[in-house]
Amino acid sequence: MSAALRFPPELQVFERGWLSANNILLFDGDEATLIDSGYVSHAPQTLALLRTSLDGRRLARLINTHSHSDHIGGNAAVQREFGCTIEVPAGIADAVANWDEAALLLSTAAQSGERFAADGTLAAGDAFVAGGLRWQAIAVPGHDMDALAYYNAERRLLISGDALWRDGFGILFADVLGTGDGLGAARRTLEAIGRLAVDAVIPGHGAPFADFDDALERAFARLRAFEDDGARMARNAIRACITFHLLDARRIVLDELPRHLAETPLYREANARFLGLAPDALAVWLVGELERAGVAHREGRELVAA
Amino acid sequence: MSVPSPCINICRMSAETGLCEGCQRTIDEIARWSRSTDAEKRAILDIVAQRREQLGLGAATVTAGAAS
Repeated sequence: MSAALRFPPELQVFERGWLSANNILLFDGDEATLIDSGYVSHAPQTLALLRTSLDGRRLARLINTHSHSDHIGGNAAVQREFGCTIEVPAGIADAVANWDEAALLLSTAAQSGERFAADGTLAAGDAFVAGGLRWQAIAVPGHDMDALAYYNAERRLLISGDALWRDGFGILFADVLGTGDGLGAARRTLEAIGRLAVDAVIPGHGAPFADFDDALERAFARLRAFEDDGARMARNAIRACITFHLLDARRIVLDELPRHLAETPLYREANARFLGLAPDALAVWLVGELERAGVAHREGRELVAA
Repeated sequence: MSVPSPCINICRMSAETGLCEGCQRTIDEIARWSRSTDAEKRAILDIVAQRREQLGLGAATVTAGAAS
């Protein structure tokens, strides 16, 4: 894929990184809809991206794909700035209303967020119009058991959140934490979206892509690897989550890492359920992995994000 | 594979330079990145390299992705 995917001018994708999910801005005349708002600490840049792209048009509505911090972190700031309504997947409405930091995986994974109130919900089967296109909400449980993807049949576009990336999908938290069958749900999700006619995917992270079938094949291969080897899934989850934390905090004191791994529920559960390592041993393995992957390096007594 | 984004997850605009402190792009360059052709993206990366030199920063590092 050498040329950029050509979307209608009414559909703009802000490709962010990993700490912030991509933001999708869809225009209908003088009004706009935003899908996902990025991480809380990046909110000023998210607002700047929106101001420059809205160019005087009104942001009427913000819709989320799922409840994680890199997708909802800017909700409060965006609503304050633009006065838009916020609609969330129906399955997370209670967790948002009660600001249940464990259910939202904030405390569970030592991540931050800013509380907001939802004005409405979307359920699988619901549809809305944005960017002159009709989008149908599709249940895509797995990474988040209540996640929704948004599909436009006319242009064959799929806004997939973290259910499908060009290379994989988001952490299957339910399996890692022992709270549900994320693996089974992810398999059914991939099978279901695999039956859709899709010319382009706008994922939660990474560039939009056209090679849907190849992405599905890679996702199924990864899923099989996790089904065959829970320890691999757990190691992957721990590595990914600490990388996320490192992108947020930028540096971690090495001596404090074993305690962080022992006290943060995600690492504690992943380790207890699948690895059974002492926190010190887990920390040693993890630092080696992060250095080898080039995502972090040691500076004296600290681990610093690359 | 298309041209990789230079985002390193700092994502904070500098009031002084008008550039992102992480990737040294303007807000317009970030906003239109995914609509840019590969040639336009490479042109942005060239400008970014020049800006980093002017700002006395080293060469940009490309980080591997996480999996949030």
